[in-house]
Amino acid sequence: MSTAFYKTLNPTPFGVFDDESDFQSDADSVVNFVKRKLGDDILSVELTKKQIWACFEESSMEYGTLVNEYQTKSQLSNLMGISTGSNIQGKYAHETLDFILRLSEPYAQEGGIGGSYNTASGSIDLVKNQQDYDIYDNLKDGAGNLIFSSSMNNDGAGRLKILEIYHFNPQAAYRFFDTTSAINYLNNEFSFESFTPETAFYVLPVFEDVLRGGMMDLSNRVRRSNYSYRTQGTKIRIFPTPTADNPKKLWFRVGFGNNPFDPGYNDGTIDGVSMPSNVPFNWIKYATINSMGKQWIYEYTLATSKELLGLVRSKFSTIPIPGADLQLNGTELVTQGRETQEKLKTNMKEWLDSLTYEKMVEGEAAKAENLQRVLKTIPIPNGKCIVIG
Amino acid sequence: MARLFVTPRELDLISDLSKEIIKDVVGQKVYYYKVRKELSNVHDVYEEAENKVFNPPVEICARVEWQQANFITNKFGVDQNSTITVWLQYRDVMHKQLDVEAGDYLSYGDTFFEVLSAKLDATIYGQIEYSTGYILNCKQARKGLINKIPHGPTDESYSDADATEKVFVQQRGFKDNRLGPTGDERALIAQGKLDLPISNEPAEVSPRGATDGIGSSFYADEGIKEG
Repeated sequence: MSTAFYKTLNPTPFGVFDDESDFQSDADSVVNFVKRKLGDDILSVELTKKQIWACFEESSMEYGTLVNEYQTKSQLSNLMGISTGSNIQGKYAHETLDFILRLSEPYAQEGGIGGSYNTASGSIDLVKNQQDYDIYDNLKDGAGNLIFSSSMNNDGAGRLKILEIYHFNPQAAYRFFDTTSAINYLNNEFSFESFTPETAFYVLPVFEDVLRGGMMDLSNRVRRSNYSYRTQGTKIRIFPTPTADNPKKLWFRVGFGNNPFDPGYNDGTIDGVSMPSNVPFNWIKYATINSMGKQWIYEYTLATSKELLGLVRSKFSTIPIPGADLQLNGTELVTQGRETQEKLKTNMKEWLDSLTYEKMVEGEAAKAENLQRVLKTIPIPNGKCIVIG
Repeated sequence: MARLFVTPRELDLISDLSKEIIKDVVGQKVYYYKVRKELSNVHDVYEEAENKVFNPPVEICARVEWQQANFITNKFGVDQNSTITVWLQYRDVMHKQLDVEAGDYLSYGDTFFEVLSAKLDATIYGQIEYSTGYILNCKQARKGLINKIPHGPTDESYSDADATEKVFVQQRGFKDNRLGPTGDERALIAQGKLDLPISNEPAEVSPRGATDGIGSSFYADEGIKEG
């Protein structure tokens, strides 16, 4: 009497499913299935049980790999950044926009409306009759420390990135509300904002205000401003030359070089899922595989067993027997086994590819469109109902 | 081929495969009659025993090449002379503890043959201690040299019960099959490297289970319900 799977020591090479009772039960049946399909009832099949169980385990793992590949294709964008530690195999994840938002972060950073990296603001003390200044040597924070040397610039590879230079009259609003008001000019000079009694308000859409404000701001800077500057290397030359005895400060906003693994905050997602290889998909529990999957596994086990038997029989193409030579069919078995494996895998991949979330959405869209086409053909019964579509 | 690639395990495989061909597929067999020299009265001059004493016959599977009989006409009349060549599987002979040598007799069909020569057939991949089997060149025995009733199968024209082999049962490494002890041993099974066949009994070609009137069928299903 041959030994049952569960009584066998180290029955499979990896032991992935050895403890599962469903796998144990099927393993014994698979031996009969494989041997019977290869003709063992009539002629010997030179395969040990452990060889067949190795094929069975390999097939179950291959199935899990294909399914997990499919799941990765469907869900990777939602899984990026999550912890790699806990198994999420078989779970149905919610859709998130985290991946897309992360991709858009640098654009937000460049636009000055977000991003993951800190920026700094500082100023250069202008000097009467001096046009040229060195940003690296003169730009200081509120405490008087050089920004270039600050700890924020650790990953900057020795450079600053100038994001904005506030070398203009920033108060555009007074022109918007009343461009001819002398009070507004005064307000501007004295750093008051434009709260004037003759300001007229109109009920307009908000975007009207926003667009107009932006337009006027740009117009002031380009067409009407006497304030300009030119940067070259670490130098900045400002126009016009400061003439006041005690000139104001020239304000900057600067950024630093971006280390992709060290944003401005402590980002745990950097150590999370980043590629298909660290998505925490464990092997699929054998007991959770449905009948379709198990049938595939049985067939694949047969194919790999056939290849293995072929390899055993291929060591000698012919062997001597009394008075003759015996031709073995190893090569044919190897070819057949490999062809069947390839076919099974190809079919499986094609089927799974047709079921990715992306494809499912396409399918749903096509179904909805087709449904609309069908509904169009339904006649309205005496005008008593309305058919949409 | 180098011993590096042909190890005892490969030789076991080769032996088992050749046994399978001879015992489970081909199904030819001879009955070997070993001459007991020590009990036979050998003539001093002719060195031949007029009345030979034989061991009980040993049924052994073989490959048999049968040649057409020659007819020789001489002054004594017409003499029929048949020859056969018999190959025996080496380990099968070994396990049956059979000592094959020239001078012994065997029956094949209804004819008895005298073994003219018994030689080793071939070594396996040049390894001197392993042989494929024995090749026996046999010549039809003259009448009177062995007076035994031949075991079947003999000839379908006979009415004996064993004239034709109605039941052929494989051996497959089982110690017994439905016909009795097989004396069969497959090395890989005996060493536990392979299991016995998944069917709990060797397959057979027989009328057993042939309920459709065909008369014989390939019977290999364990647990079949017989009427």
